[in-house]
Amino acid sequence: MPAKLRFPDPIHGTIELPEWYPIVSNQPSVRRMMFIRQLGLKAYVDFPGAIHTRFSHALGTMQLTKKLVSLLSEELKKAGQSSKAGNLSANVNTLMAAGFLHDIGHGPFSHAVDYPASKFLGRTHVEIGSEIIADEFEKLEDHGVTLSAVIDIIEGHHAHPFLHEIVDGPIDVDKLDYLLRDSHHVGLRYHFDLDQFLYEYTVLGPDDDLESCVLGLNNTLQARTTAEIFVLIWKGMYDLVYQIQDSRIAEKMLEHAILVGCNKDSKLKGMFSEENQYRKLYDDLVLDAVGKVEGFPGEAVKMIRDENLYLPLVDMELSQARYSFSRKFIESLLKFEESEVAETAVGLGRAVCKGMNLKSEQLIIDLVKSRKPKSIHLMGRSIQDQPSYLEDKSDVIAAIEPRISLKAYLHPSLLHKINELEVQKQVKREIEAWS
Amino acid sequence: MVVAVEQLSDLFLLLHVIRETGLVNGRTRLQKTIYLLRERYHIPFRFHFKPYFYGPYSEDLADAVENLVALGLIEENRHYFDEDVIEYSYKLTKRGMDFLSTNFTTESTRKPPIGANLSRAIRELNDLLTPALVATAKSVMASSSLVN
Repeated sequence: MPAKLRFPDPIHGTIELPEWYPIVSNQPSVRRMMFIRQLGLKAYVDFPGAIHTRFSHALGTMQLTKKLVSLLSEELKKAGQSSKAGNLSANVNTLMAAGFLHDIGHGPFSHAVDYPASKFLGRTHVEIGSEIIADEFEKLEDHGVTLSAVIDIIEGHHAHPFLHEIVDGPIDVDKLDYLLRDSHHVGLRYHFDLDQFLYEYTVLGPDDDLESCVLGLNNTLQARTTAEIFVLIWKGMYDLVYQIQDSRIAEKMLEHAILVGCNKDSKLKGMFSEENQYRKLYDDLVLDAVGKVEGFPGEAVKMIRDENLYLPLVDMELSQARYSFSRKFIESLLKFEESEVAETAVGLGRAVCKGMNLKSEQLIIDLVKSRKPKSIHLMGRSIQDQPSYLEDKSDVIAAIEPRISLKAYLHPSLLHKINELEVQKQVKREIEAWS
Repeated sequence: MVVAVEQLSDLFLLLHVIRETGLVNGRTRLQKTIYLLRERYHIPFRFHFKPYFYGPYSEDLADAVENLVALGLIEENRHYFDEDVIEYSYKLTKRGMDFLSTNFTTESTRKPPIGANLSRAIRELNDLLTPALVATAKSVMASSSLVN
């Protein structure tokens, strides 16, 4: 079969494939992305149209990387910033590979399996991704791709920050693609003018000191306004899609089902504790495997499939003064990795169940963080000068507050048997004494 | 509750530094202060720093501050520093003060290896204007990368 040159795409029209694409296209980890839905269980619960995969997002991110690098190189060359322009051009294949592979370590159902994977495998999806890249994509080195730089870019610590910020930063192409792609497929039709926005990108900082340079925007009305729309869509997508309640409940049910299932069934545990097995997991395989485990795991999967979900019972915003916390509880919330926060939520849920004489897993606790957007750099007095930040120029963006909520979901069989206030009281006792 | 020195967490140290400073004026100032406390005065913060436009920057620290604001232990205020320059200031809320005094005593910070070092270090860094603080942090990071 002749090598493919391009794919049609609902978001970008056409994805032009790099000459190295045939080398990676048949790798099992790449094929696997076709069987992992980008929005996981949200397609089963809230958004039936969201059947797009990680693979289409990977292609879209790669396409945008190429487009942005090309626009930036041209603009910077014209502006006499030859060092920045040259650095970008020299790294175009590395950056495109990073765009294509940035989510290669994500397991099925995305964030629903992050904590089980971290618990049983001892690695985050980013760490797993870096290992897959080092193991499976060595041949890319013959095509202008530096694998160690790909890993640095995806992990967000390349020596030249503007390079990793193209794929992992406040205005990265990952977000540009997933916001437009996800909103298109869920049917919310949020939109901003991508082409015009990309023309406003630039690399700020001294041309002779690439280690200080950051990805930012021109300080124009056009750039600031589009950036505001971009951030508001990001927030809207978190509130209305990524953290939407019913899907979130289904994800937490699956997370608990995997955790319990791995303790009951050695075959299932092998899937989450042995890396060679974990790398082969995809959505349907996990749902089938967990569904076969007797007791709570099988029951939870059946409930997800039947859309007979746990019921939201408690929603406590933790900034409110009436709650007080133990030192350990706060320390666990300060963790950078969401899987570590999930660990606290699972432990707390089991403690609450015990304190209320419920069976484990009859009540599930969830800790939901609503974040502030990361600071977006705007050009200062010149491209070399110190940048300013979008939130300094925009009251709309500055008004977005961080929030942490604690939610409790109840097994439907306990409806009317368990009182919301009783659960709240027990939760308050636990977070005050959490150790 | 007295916490052993080796158990002094980023949480305690961060809240303690903000309480001792009273009002931290600026995100940049907070970032560089914590970096210098670790690198120059050996206060055992665990935050990971990397080079950035304004010198050493830690995403973990920014994340921790955001979470403490979300939990109501730190208050973030936005105000005009100059006609067109916005600055963010940080201080402990009453809830943060109560939390700190309930969960920790300053006794931990008076013992070696921190000893009187922390209060003296905070005073010295507070005496530096922000541009000098940034320049010092950048130079410490540059020299530590040469060593490494």
